[in-house]
Amino acid sequence: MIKRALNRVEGWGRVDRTQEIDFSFDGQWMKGYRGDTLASALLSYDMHLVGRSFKYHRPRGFLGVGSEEPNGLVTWGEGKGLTPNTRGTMLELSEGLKVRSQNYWPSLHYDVKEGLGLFSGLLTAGFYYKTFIWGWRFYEPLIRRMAGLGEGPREVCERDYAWRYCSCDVLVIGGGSSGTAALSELLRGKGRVVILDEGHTEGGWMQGDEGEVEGMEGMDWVRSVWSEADSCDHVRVLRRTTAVSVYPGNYVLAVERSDEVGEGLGPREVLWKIRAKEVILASGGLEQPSTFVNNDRPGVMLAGAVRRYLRHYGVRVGERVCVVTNNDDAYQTALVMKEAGSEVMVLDSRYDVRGLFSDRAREEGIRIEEGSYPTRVRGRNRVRGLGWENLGQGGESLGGREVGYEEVDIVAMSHGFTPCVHLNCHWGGKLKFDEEREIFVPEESSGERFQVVGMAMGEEGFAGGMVSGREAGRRALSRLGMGLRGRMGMWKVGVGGREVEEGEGDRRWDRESVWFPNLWHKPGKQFVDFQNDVSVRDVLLAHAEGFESVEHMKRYTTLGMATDQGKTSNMHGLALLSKLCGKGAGFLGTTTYRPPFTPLTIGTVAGMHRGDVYHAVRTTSAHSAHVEMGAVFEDVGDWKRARYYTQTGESMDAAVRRESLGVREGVGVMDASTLGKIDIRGKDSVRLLNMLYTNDWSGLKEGGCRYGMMLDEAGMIMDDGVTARLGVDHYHMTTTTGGAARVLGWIEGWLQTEWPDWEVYCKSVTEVWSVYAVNGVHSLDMLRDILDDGSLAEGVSPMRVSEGKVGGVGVRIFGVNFTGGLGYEINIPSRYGLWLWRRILEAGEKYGIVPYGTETMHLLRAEVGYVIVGQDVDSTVTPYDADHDGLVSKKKEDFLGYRGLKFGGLRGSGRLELVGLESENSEEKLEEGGVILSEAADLSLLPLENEGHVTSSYMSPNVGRSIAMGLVKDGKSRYGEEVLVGRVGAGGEFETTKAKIVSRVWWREGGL
Amino acid sequence: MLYIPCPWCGEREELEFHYHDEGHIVRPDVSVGDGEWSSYLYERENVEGWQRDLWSHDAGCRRYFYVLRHSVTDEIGGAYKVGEKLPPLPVEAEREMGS
Repeated sequence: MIKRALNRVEGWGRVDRTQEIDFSFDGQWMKGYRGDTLASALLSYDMHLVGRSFKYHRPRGFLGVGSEEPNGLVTWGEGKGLTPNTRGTMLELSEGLKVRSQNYWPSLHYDVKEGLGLFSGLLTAGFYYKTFIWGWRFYEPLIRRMAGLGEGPREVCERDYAWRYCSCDVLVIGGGSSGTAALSELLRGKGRVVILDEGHTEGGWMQGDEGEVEGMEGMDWVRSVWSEADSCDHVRVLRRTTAVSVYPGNYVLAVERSDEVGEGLGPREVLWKIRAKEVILASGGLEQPSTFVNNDRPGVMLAGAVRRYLRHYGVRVGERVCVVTNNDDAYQTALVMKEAGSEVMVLDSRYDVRGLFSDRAREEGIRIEEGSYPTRVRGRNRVRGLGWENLGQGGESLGGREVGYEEVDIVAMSHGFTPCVHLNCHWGGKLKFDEEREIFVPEESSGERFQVVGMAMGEEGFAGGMVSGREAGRRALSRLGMGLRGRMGMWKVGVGGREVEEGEGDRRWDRESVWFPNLWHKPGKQFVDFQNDVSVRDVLLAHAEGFESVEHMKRYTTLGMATDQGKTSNMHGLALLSKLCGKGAGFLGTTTYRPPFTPLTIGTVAGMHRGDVYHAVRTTSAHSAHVEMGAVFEDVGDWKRARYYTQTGESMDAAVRRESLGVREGVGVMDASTLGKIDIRGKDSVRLLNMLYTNDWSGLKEGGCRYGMMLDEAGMIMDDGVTARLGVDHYHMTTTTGGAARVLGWIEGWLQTEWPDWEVYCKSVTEVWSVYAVNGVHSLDMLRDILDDGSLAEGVSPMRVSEGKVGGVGVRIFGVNFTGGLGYEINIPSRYGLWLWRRILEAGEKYGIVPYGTETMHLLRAEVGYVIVGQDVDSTVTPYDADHDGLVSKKKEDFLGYRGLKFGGLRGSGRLELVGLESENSEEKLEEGGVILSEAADLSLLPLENEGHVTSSYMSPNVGRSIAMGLVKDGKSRYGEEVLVGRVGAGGEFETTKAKIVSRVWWREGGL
Repeated sequence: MLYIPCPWCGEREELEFHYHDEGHIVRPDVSVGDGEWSSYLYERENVEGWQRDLWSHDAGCRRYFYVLRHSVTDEIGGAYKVGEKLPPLPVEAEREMGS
């Protein structure tokens, strides 16, 4: 057990050592400081082994220091606050934080699954496809147990997540040196500025790099600019905030971990939706790892991360350090680690090394092995040593003989930086390949309002990055008409105590590309993608099997598909495949960068939209009464409709039986308020109706109602309903519940674009009126009882609308019903809806009134053969197919769908037509959706010809048998014929049952 | 996400709008043949570049109008009401200024 944080070096770092924080890792309590991340605190105890890898269960430690981290994923919190797969490098330390490592069994230090060794052979690229084509059912659970990351929480997090909307003039993404330089200019202007950085402390690479600005140490300068911003009214400063996606129009989503681990009252995370007139992207660069055998062992880290742990957190991650590099920048790590007391050596793949930092390293007496490249790392749970080979002058392998070996406990590797261009690419910004430096950089012209600066733009130097940031800030302001006065002054910028000119003197990435010198001759794994466990060998295999497109290779090997979005792996994968194809590193281009930049929790995506407020719900005015009466609801669009009313726990079938008999024999009432209602006025109203509906509306008198079908321009059924003429130029249209909005939009579209000169106005009145459908032999008797002037009930007749009053409130009574037989729909202003519903039930009591739901309504309308648009007919069905030939006017010379109906083939044979179906066994209910086959079909001869399907099917107590409707090939000319209806039996086998094609009308009654 | 300048309400978030179709599709006379009618129904220019869209401001004024949009970059080049004189596409405007 480690008791002391021996790696914490006195005099180094910027964490607040006066504030100790207790936290636990795998049950062991330790101390860190305010300003630490979990990673820095664990590393201060020299704990490098923190997790197991995804597929091979190899021991892993922290590779990086920020959101690029692929290895150090942990689970923190407990119970409702449990959060898996969090990067230890991003998790800020807080008092009492409990963290667990992931993906091991039985223990982090000894994992059986790694020991078995069996799996590494099985789990190569494409293994799913090849190994388990047969027997997947057997293998799947095994693989699922074996591979994986953390486990999801099992309880619902009760803390809040929030969305916030924000608009600003300039958004700066990234608070490193160039982002801060941009900010410093913006502070001088007046525009509304938002700056965000994903760290809990600003600074980015500046936290570990050398640099001076105007005589101040680089980080001190960064902090002074940010603290000025903190006190500026026109600047919003967002720390701990990651921009996760950028959409066209400078619409940026960012996640603020506002109170991630705390117990505060505020939301845990905030999803910012930022609309910026100008965006400055200063997302910096991503240091790339090197590939050599066992480059994933705990203790192998990125060079930039190693020095950031030291300079920012005061944590010296090891005592004997080997820096592996092909560039000058990594020498900073060598210098600073030596200064802190570590033994340091450098393996540089280049010859004749010269550079700002390498020259100094040589002066300091640091051992530099030129033209050298690692062969393999020794050690399992921690680096023990590193061997190397010599390379030729061109970086080529000379056979791979190990020429040196040194015992070290840290390998600090750097294959140079690649611009972090994800956010530039999300919205469509283009990249170009820089042949000389072998990096993809954003194209300059890629967006007028979106500027990329600093390392993200491929700027190599500290000074140059600062200049690009400042210029972008000024350019943004001047484009907004808020330009700053005067020319941009010069800053004194220095590195290592030496003043440097802009972009000169500190070409830190000055690297020679050494791509995979030891591809072929080394046994053992060289990892390209650490998080998804993709090795060089997997890419070789993919290429050998013919994958030459980066997108295909990515999917075959899963390279770059992990939660780190390939930040430390994509470029190597692309370069390797290009090399295998015999092309330059950039030849194949990149895979597509997609949001999000870093993973975000489901809680953040959902924000406040969960539970009752997940989705808006529409209820009718009598909803509370339905609830009281035991209604079981169904969703129809956003509406809650009573499906049936259950009394003392009866089943739906029993309830429907009771309700349907009650309606036919006495009186029933249904809440039909959800029906779409459109009020149409103006002198061209009838002209409009004649265009919308297939039938002729010219003859409809005032007070009359008519049923109509609407078609789309292809001649297919779109909606149906009854429309009443209330006045000379005044109509009341009803639509289906689900189609109300679509129909109104459809009408408006025609009126506004094709017929703008017509004088006609439409308004949705769906929620203005509550509608109760009253049906059954006693329906008129009950109406007579509730109307203030009962004699008016005599005026209620089929397809007529009449008016009256109930309790002094005006009502409209439409002589229409959807169930057949006697019935009407009574409309009352919605605020009286609940009252009228109760009044109807009260008045109906003596007739034994039954409230009924949509399920019974569906059954009753099927008994009389009415169709439901969306169930029996849809947008593949014409009125002819639907057996509504008479509804298509022969007189009219145009209506919407008129020309579509004349398409060749729509009236010929072979169409599916709506008919009734009766199963041979009257007790058997046909299956809705069941396939219809010819009676002569030979089930042993596949494929069978599909002759249609069942659209509605019910057990009807009124008819005394099961009834069904279906779309059947040439059905209207096949009445009396028998067909087979297929279904999947209980055992999963296909079975058929006999049914007869019949007329759709089973029930008739004199009356309305 | 687009920022759409409704000619009636001003600039609003794309969320408030609904895209319908390419703009200015003319409904042919019903006497045309099947070919022409199906081209009216289904065939679109689908240009790579500037085009005229038909949108409606559903969560606002509920008006239909036209938007000049670049189908590749998603740039918005303006909007105009139904019946207004067609403004030139931004490329045409550039060309005119150049000549």
